This record gives sequence, C-alpha cells and structure tokens, in this order.
Amino acid sequence: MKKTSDPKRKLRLYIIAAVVAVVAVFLYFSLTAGAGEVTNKISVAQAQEIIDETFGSIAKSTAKGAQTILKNSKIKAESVSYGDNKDVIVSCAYETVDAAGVITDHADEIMTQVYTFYQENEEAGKKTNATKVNLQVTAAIQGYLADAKALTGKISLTIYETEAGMQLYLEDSLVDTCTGGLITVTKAIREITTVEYQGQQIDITNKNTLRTGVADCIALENYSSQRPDTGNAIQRAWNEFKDSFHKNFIEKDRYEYLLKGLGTTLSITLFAALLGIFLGFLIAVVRCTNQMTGKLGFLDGICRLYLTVMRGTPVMVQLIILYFVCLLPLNVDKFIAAVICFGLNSGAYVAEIVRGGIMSVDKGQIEAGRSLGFNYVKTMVYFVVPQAFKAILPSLANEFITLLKESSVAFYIGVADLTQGGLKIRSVTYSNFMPLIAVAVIYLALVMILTKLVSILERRLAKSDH
Amino acid sequence: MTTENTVLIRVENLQKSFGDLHVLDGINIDINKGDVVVVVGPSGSGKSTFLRCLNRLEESTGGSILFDGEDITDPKVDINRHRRKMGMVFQQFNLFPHLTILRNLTIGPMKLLGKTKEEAEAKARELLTRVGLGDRAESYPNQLSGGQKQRVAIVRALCMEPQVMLFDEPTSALDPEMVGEVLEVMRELAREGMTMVCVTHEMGFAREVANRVIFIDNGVISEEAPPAEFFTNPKSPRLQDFLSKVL
Repeated sequence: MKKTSDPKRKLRLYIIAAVVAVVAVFLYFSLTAGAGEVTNKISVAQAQEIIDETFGSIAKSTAKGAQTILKNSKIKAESVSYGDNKDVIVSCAYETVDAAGVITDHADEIMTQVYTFYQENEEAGKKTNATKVNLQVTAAIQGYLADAKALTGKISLTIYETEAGMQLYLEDSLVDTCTGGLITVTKAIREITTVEYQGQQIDITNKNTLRTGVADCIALENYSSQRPDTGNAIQRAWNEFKDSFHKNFIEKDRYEYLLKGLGTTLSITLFAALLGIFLGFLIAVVRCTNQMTGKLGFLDGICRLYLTVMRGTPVMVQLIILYFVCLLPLNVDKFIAAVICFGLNSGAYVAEIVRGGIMSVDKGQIEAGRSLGFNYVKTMVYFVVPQAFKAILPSLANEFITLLKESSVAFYIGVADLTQGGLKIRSVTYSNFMPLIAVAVIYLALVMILTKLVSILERRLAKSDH
Repeated sequence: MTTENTVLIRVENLQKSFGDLHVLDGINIDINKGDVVVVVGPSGSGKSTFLRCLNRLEESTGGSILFDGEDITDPKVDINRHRRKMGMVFQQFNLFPHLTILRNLTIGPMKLLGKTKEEAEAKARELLTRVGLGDRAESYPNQLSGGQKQRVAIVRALCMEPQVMLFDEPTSALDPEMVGEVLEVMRELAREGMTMVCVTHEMGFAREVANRVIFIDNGVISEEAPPAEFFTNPKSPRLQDFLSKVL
C-alpha cells in the first residue's frame, strides 16, 4: 500500500512546484508593471492630507533626532507638480520650533544628564554604549523643545505612488536646513569638558564615545532619506513586508503579545477540553444507561435539557451571560470563566459524540463479553469503549479543533488570548494585515498540527481494520 | 446414547414475557451431563429466547434454572461466575474486532480465570490447531471468513473450559459452503462428550449428533424425543407440519 503512493507523491510535488512558479511569475509582472507615468493625480488638499497622515509616523529610516524635529513641525502643502516617474512634487512651507537655540542653551544640562545616566548604568554593571545614551538625550530634549521659538522655511516633498499607496519622501533640503541649524549644537556639546556629578566636577574629555554619540544624534547624521526604488517592485514589496513585520512583531517585543496569547489560548483549550471530556462522558453514560435499561429517567431529562440549551445558543452568548451575569458578581477570574464556559459548551457536544460511539458498537459485543463472564463494567472497558473510541476519535478531535478556534471569542470578556494579542498589536501599530494574518496563521498551524497528530493516532488504531 | 444421569441444568416452569407477549410459557427440562440437546421450532417460537435465558442474557420472568444445583435466576446470584462455565456461540460470531484472534481467545482465561499469558496462549494455540486455524493466531477477525470466525468463536468459548456449550443458530449466518466446517467442529465436540444445547435449523446435524431433540412451539416444549424417533415418528400434528416444511 505504502509503496504505490510514492510516484503519486512525486506527481503532487511537481504540481505544487508548477503552481508556485506560475504564481511567482504572475506576482513579478503584476508588481513590476507599476513603474511608469503618474496615474493618480492629486490636488493640493489631498497632498496636505497625505502629509498630515504621514508625518504622524515618519518613516523608521529617520533617526530619532529627526523625528523630534518633525514632530514639532507644521508642514503646509502649497503647490503640486508631477514628475515623470510616478512621483508628485509638493512644495511646502514648514514652520518648526527653534531646536538649535534650545539645545545650545541647555547643552551642559543635557551633558550632565547623559553623564549621570551613563555613570549610574556603569555602576550598576550595565554596559552602556553611546547609542543607548543618545536615545536618553533625545527624550530629554523633547521637553525643552515643547516651549521653544518657531522657525520657518520652505521645503520640497516628493510623494511616490507605490503598490501600498502613497509614500512620502523628504527632499534633502529639509535635512540640510535642520542640520545647518544644529551644527552649532554639535559644536557646543563637543566643547563641554566637565559636568557636575554628585557635587563633583568631573572631566569627561576622555569619554569620547559619550560626547560624540550625543553630538551625532543631535546633528542628525543618522538621518537618511532615500528615494524609494520604483524600479524593482518585488524588492520594494519585500522591504515593506520586512518593515511591517519588524514594526508589528520585533519592535518593543510586540511578538510577546502573540506568544502569551498563544499560551492562554492553549491552556483555555486544554482545560476546557478536559472539563468537556469529563462532563461529556458523564452525560453520555447517563444517557446510554437510560437508553439501554430505561433507568435514570430524571437525570436523563436534565441532561437533555442541558444539551438543548448548550447546543441551541451561540457560545459567544453563553460566554457573556456566564461571565457578566453569573461569575463577575462572584469575582471569578476571566480565564477561569472562559474555561468553565467552553468546557460546559464542549461537554454538550462531546456527550453526543460519545453516546453515538457507544451506541454504534454492536450489541453482540456486549453479549459476547457478558457470556464469557465479564461483568458490565469490564465488558465496557475491554470491548465496547475501545471500539467506540476508535469510531468517535475523528469527531472528538474535530470537536477539540472547533473548541480551539471557538476559544477566540474569549477576547470579548477581556481574556488576553491569541486573538486579543493580535488585536492589541493592531491597536498600537495601526496595521491590519500583519497582526491579523499572523493570528490566523498561528491558529491554522495549530489546527494542522492537531489534525496530523489525530491522523497518526487513527492510523495506529486502524491496524485491526484491514 | 449412554447418558450419565447427573443433571447439569434443571429448568422448571421457565417463563419469559415482553409485556403481554408470552414468549416462554413454562418450559421444563433436565439437561444431563454429556447430553447433546438440539432445539428446533418455527421462528418466533421462543427457542433462541430459551437458550439465552439459560445464561441470563435474557432475564426470565418466572420459574427457575438450576445450574450445578444453584438457582441462577436468583438476582443475588453472581451470574458472571456461572457464565464462565457456560460457553456461548452466537449466530453473528461476535468476535472482538479490535483484538487479534489470540487475544480474543486469551482475554477471558487471563482476566477471569487468573491464567498466565503462557498458559492461556498455549491452550488457545492448541485448540486453534485442532480446528485447523493454527496459523491464524495473529490475524484480526475481519481477515477471516465466516466459517473461520465461527470456529474461532467456538474455540473462544472452549478456552474458558465450560461445562456446557450453548449454540444459538451457529450456522445460520454462514455461506452454505462454510456450514460443513463449523458442524464438523461441533460434531467433534459432541464426540468428546461435551454437554451441548444447540438451536439450529440443521436437521441433518440434529439427526446425526443429538441424543435428544426438542420441539418448542408457542413457548412450551411440545415434543421431545431421541432423533430417530423425533424425525421418523412425530406425534403432534404441529411437529408433523413443521418437519414436512423443513425436511
């Protein structure tokens, strides 16, 4: 049996490879077809909108210092002209605070702060390099910038139309203007040789790294404003993808939202499944006994009512009723509430699956077991349940896969599960694609792993079937 | 035809009713050690029910069954202990499909009679070889033909070393060409002196192997005789009518 499937598998591989190749070629052409004339002409008002939107979160390639300046700038579109390579040139007037003046006035204050920070870290055994110090300085500068004097000028911006939408690109003139103003600041900082630390005058002449680092940052030497590469759409798309990936998962360790959420989702599913199996078997035993012997009529009635309610209402509704009506007043933890709710819900489905499995085993099996002298319980254990288990395994596995997916509504009562992890990232980065697709991919991977495990188990159990 | 006169099963006024329907309406019979009793009768006459009442797969609603001197219809009696001594073979074989043949044969002796694996397997293999299935020990039931399954089912009952074997239409679910191999095993068993109660439609088998044939009609034993007399000289018109249809 196994041998004959090999050529088939090979064929399948070829087909997959062919499909992948076709998709890749299609993607390449569709992505590279973008370069050319400007197709989407915009008005000054639209240019202004784009500027407002984009300046809220200036590209990451901009250094921290530049961001600070830009955050304190008002940029107004004045006229729009069109280049020949899908670009729109917007002439703008800008008004920015006098960063240079502020920093020059407070240069030694800044250096003292930096030194303190640097020294404290060193004493605590933390290795500090200049780059880390830079960030600290910039945060301090921000305060001074808030109430500084304004300074105005003209710049030119170029907006490129890319696959992802409009992309803004700063003409170097802005950077030059800012840098020009800040050269003096760099000089001022380099001239500071002593700072006051714990009442003592400390010579920092030797701390070259520290002083250069601070100066570099303020001088915006890290600023890079690269014209987007309109020639290679795939490269661009890939870069955008990388940037988005970085922003959504790597920056500030945002992936931890997903990781922790995944843990929560798995534990909810596991505990709910255990509760579901326990309840399900209990109900199935009551119902089977009733069906076969006619006893336990009252309990059977209760079970049937339970099944009707649990299977007849959406799990989301059950969850919010259970939590907000029943458990919240008792101060029950959200996680536990979710486990209880999904367990109760799953139990109803498991019960019917198990009952179906037990009833599907031929009655002759019970008679055979009993006729040999096995009692009812042993007959069930040795003969009926193993056969029932094999019969219900696929449905049971499907039930738990459904449970895993359904547990995603737990975010509604505020459980920090996988879904909520994705939503949190989304609310911070304002990206939709990356975090939501990531959530879906993780669920899909989990389901596929579970399905694979079940099929392995099934194959093992099917040994007696050939 | 020598019957030792020790009564193994004494059935007294056995009754079974489903609601208003009286399936068994007062059965009386003594089954002696070494007896081969064949039970015949029209369908619905209660012959299978009678057989199944003997090991309480059906609960009787009246009368008593003394097995080995003990009334097994008493609810306080541990019926599982008695069932171990009464092998049963079903029309549908009822082998355990999830276990190998060997495991089918040894699970009873090992779990119930406290035999070691070695003892149980040795016994099982010996009996399997005797019914011509020595090479199928590791197979699963679904890999066997109907006739082979039924032979395994007989061996499964025999592995418990029963005092009596109950056969419930053991050949009715078989293809005609497989009936012979099963009857051969049963014939062999009778020759060894096993006490047997057999519900069957195989009149040839009854004539050849049985020492007593009973005719159940309308829930009572309406006629009982040694096979020679039973088939050649039926007394009641009902039996005459029945035999004229089945022979």
